Amino acid sequence: MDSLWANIFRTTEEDSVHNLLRNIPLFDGLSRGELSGIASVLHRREYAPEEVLFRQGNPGVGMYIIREGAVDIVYEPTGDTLAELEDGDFLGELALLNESPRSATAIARDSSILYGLYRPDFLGLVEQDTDLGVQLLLRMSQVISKRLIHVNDQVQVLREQLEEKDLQRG
Amino acid sequence: MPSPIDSDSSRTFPANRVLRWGRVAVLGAGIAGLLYIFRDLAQLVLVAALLAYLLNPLVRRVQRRTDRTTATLVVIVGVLGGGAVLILGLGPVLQHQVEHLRTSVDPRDVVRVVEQVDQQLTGLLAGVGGGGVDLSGRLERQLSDIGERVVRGAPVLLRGATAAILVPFVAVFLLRDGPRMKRGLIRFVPNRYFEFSLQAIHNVDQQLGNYFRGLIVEIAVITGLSVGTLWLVGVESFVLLGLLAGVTTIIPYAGSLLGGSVAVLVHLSSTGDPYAAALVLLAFVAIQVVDEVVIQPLVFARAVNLHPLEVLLAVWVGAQVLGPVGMIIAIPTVGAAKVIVTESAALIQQYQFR
Repeated sequence: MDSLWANIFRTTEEDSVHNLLRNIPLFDGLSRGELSGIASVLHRREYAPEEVLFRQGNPGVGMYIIREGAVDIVYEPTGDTLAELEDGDFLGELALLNESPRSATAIARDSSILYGLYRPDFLGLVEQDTDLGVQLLLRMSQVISKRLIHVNDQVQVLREQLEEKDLQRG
Repeated sequence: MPSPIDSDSSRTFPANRVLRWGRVAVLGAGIAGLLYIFRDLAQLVLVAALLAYLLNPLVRRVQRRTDRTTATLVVIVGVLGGGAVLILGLGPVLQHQVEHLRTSVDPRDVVRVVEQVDQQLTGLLAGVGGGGVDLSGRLERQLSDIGERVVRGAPVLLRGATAAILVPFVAVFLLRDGPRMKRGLIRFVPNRYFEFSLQAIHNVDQQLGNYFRGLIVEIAVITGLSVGTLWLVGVESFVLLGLLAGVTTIIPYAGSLLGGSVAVLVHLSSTGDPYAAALVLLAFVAIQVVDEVVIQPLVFARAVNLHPLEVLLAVWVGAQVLGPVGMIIAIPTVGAAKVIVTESAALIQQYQFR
């Protein structure tokens, strides 16, 4: 009997991908059909610990969503870890819009499962379904504008610190 | 001084590489062997795959309004319907023109014309120390074999009918499930080459798509021009001969001229007027020039530039392996191979595979 209820309420692979996508700001609020469209173009990849997702300087081809595991973002010249990403986080989303080289290297810290969304597939979805395309591009611009605000705040803080140092010297 | 691990790895590295390449070679040989054993089926699947590949942009366009299965069915039904209308419309005209060709052109006249060309060529080659070309002997052998070929052609016809049913059927599945199959295959690519493979497949797809679509436009325009020109200069079988000139335009540098030479021979043997035949020849020289100067630069945005030597070699190897059909398909095959190699080589330089 338990197995019957377990079967009725089990989460299918599709459901779990939908849940994962709903937590990404880019896809938040999309309908089930629209999420299925996006899920149909995702590439499921499995990485071993220390395995490289992409290297700094290589052309950016798309974004990744972490389903399980952890990924470090490393700045190669210094070896500094810029960010530690975990389940539900996403990376490389700017590569959905242009082909600019990767600004850092991404390395799996643990055994990880990720979903890759490739730029031509993303642009194909945008072209195929104009309504979905508008929503996706709007969300993308929101993500970028939030990041710009964050960067502006950081620049402001650094400028203030610099001015303080100048005052102390002067 | 290298550590024991370093020296060990330096010993095993080439062995691993040899093993890996050995496995790839065995796999490649296995696939080639299977393709050879099931070559009839492989040919059908290849034609279906090419059809699916060419129709994919149309399916994607229709898919904006409906799901992929319906879009695939709409496109396939549309293409088959269009083909049927074309066959029904052109069939009687072509049949009439074939009949006319058979009654008006005496094969002996064609042989006589070729004999004269043969003599001229042999004399010319003897002057520079070469041997005879024996064009007329070859043509006579071809003509004497026609009756036997018709009898032997029955199984070919049956195979053609099977192909006519199977190719669209396979194409429907390849069109509907193509994207899913592609993703399924990419799952086998090691992580290190994943992004590179995605980009390489995309670039090759774009270039090949442009190339094949360009070829279709070129064939359509040259066919139209040839049919129109032959009708204007009063050649009776203008549709049949124009179609032939259109198809042979696949061969770069002299394709439509080669196809047009058949029209010249036929017109010469049916009218017996060398000036009328010269007019047809002149028309095809003009069509060839228009093709090279105007049409090709327009339809091939980023052209697959084949060197004349590559064209000659491809056409020669194609003719040796598959005869006249091989001559026609050699160029697209070499063009496609060149796109794959060029795009992959350009992309490899942008990637680091450490």
